[in-house]
Amino acid sequence: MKTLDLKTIEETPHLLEILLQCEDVLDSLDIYVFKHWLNGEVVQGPKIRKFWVSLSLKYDYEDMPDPRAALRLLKHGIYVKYNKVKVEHLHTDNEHYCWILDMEFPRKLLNGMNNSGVDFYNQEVDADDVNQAEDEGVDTATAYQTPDEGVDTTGGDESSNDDSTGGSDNE
Amino acid sequence: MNKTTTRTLKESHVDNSSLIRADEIPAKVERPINKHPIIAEGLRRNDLKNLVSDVVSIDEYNSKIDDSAIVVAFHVQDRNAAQDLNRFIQKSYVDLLDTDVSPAPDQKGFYLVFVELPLNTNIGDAIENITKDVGALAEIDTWRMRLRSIKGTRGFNVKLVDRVLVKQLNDNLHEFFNMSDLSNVILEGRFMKMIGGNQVFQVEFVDFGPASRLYAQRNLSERAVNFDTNSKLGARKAQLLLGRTLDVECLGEHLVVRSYNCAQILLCKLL
Repeated sequence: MKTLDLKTIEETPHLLEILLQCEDVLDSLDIYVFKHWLNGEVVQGPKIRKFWVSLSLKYDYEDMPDPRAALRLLKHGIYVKYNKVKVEHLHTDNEHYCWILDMEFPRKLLNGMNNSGVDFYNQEVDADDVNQAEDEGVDTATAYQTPDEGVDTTGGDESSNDDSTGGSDNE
Repeated sequence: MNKTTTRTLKESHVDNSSLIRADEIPAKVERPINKHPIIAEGLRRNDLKNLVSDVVSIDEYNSKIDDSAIVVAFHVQDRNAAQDLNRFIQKSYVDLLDTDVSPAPDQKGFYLVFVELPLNTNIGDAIENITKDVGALAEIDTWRMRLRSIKGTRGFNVKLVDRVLVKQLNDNLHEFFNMSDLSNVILEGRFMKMIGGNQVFQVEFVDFGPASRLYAQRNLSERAVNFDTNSKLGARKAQLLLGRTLDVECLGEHLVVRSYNCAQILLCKLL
């Protein structure tokens, strides 16, 4: 399983915002009342699709999150899948199990996502690609100019907002 | 959704003077100024510790919206805590008809959080699931219960709850089928046997209650009449067994049994 790219999350305000909104949905449904749900750590996502946002949470094997909360989430349209995953350490023979919860949130539950500029983001971000794109100046206004328009040096900040969400479609 | 604004106790051994009417509260109530506003975020485990009584009331109060519904009541010491508990229960995965908080505390200072549940064959499980959820919030592992028709308080026992309440459902069904040609109706788990003459017709019990609630809850008005051969034969067989006082129709996957002189309907499924 691919691990969470913290650098991408930190550098992408939209993704961080969406993660916070997912957390807010869990909180508003009082999920943290149930055993061990508070101990999860985000290991994958958020992946954004047309109607769904998905992410994965990791829990220690001994701290399996109470499935009753998953039933509560299901009633509100959030799908939760429990996966028992073996964790192997590279340099030692130790191996242990953990729980990975794959969660899918309907986008309609997340505040401000219906009409926001956030579009699809269903692929892993490769940090090298991001660095290369920065080197090429993709995050400046010039990258979005058609040959006829020429260079507008005043609008650079506006266009940089949507880079991380994969979407020149939003413009 | 609510038919009336006040809730009454059912006829039972319970002292019905325990609730104070809203108009009996003094007009001016001195309240301490709260300098620390309540934190506006979701609830956490044990947030209502020592605020909720471990005694749950089952079927002691009348329902506001459905005479056949079962009302479960939790006793909470603080008004805000009662409202929090009310919101928490509303988000439960258990199918609920309604929830609300008593407008005033009872004589012991408890606010009551009422939870209305449809009376069906898994009513005991539904109540147990709610108490488990509330137990996580209030740190209560062992519940006690007060059940109408049983004197005193005793430990929560889902089998006893099922026995008492499903018997009530059985009685309601017998009353419903009273005018039919059936000689007996037996409810066994989720299955129901309709016995008439020397014939037995077995179906899966789904729900029983007022037509208005079931039609709305199960969206029956939108369902098409099922002309599938098996469904038609099943409905025909049930109709012959029940006689002319009851009407049988196949709506979607459900067999709907209506009485001409009763506002309640029976929903079941063909096996």
